[in-house]
Amino acid sequence: MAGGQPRRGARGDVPDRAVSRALDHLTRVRDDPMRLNAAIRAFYAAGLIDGDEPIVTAAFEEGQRAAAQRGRVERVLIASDPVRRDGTAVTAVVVRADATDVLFHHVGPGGSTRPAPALGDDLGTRYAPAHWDAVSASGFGPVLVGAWRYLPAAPPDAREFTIGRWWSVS
Amino acid sequence: MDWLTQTRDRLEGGAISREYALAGLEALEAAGVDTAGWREVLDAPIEHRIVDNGLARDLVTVVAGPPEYRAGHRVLVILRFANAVVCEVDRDEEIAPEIDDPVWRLADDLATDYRFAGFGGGPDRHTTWYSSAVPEGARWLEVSLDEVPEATFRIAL
Repeated sequence: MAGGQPRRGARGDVPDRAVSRALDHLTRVRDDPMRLNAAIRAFYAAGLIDGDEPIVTAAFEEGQRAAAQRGRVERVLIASDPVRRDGTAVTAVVVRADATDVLFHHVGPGGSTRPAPALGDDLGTRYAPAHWDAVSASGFGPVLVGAWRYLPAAPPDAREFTIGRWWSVS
Repeated sequence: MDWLTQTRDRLEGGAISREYALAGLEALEAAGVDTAGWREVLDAPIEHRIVDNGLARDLVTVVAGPPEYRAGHRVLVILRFANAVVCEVDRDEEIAPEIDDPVWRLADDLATDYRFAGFGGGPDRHTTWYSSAVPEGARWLEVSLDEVPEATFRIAL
């Protein structure tokens, strides 16, 4: 603690120790995007961090990259008989040049903070969410239409997709 | 507005999940913030303040758009609901003209009045909501962008 005085935090009234603990926490949860995002928002509100922290900048840039990395649409596979679980129905898989999107319709609370479920296909492609929650969302009351994005783009021969435990599209 | 008030507000507004709220609380606890009593506030039953007019709740079917871009736009899907239609359009930012408030219209062969209910998405995705259902017997839908006549799509039902 410089000069024996509590360091003023991002908003001027938090001690150095709390800032250090906050940064430690962000490091601990950095591989869990939902917790990371929730922590960043909470620390901002508490004046513990500001936008200059590298881990915050990295999280922000990751979100920007996810939204940007997409490419044109190559094919769209429709859920012919959408299954609804916990308020969510997958409606389509959109194969893009640089990514794969899963479109969903949700009824209920939670907004767009809906972590992307696991995505797989019949070729065994390993997909990773490009962003922890929806990359686009449009809502009306409790109803939300949105898209999760995954990398890489689905191979041309992939014909059947599984999303989470409940949904499949072919 | 402090974090607790803001978070409870977002919970009641349906903007976030409880899991997300508790992840924020966990973070504040880890930083040593005095959060005495906050968990009880977040765990309390939620009376959602969501305005629910029942629009677009009951999904009937999903219809694919034509497999092509026109003037930088491609209809991805049309979601048919019992009382609504939602049209999702992909936008190629390199080709599509920039329009501040694009007006997407929906029509069918029965001259149904598809009333505009809302618009969302973002610069690369246009999602338009209509508060009318596709009537039985309709054979096609036409989606068109007012500002760009080339971006007109006919979709067989």
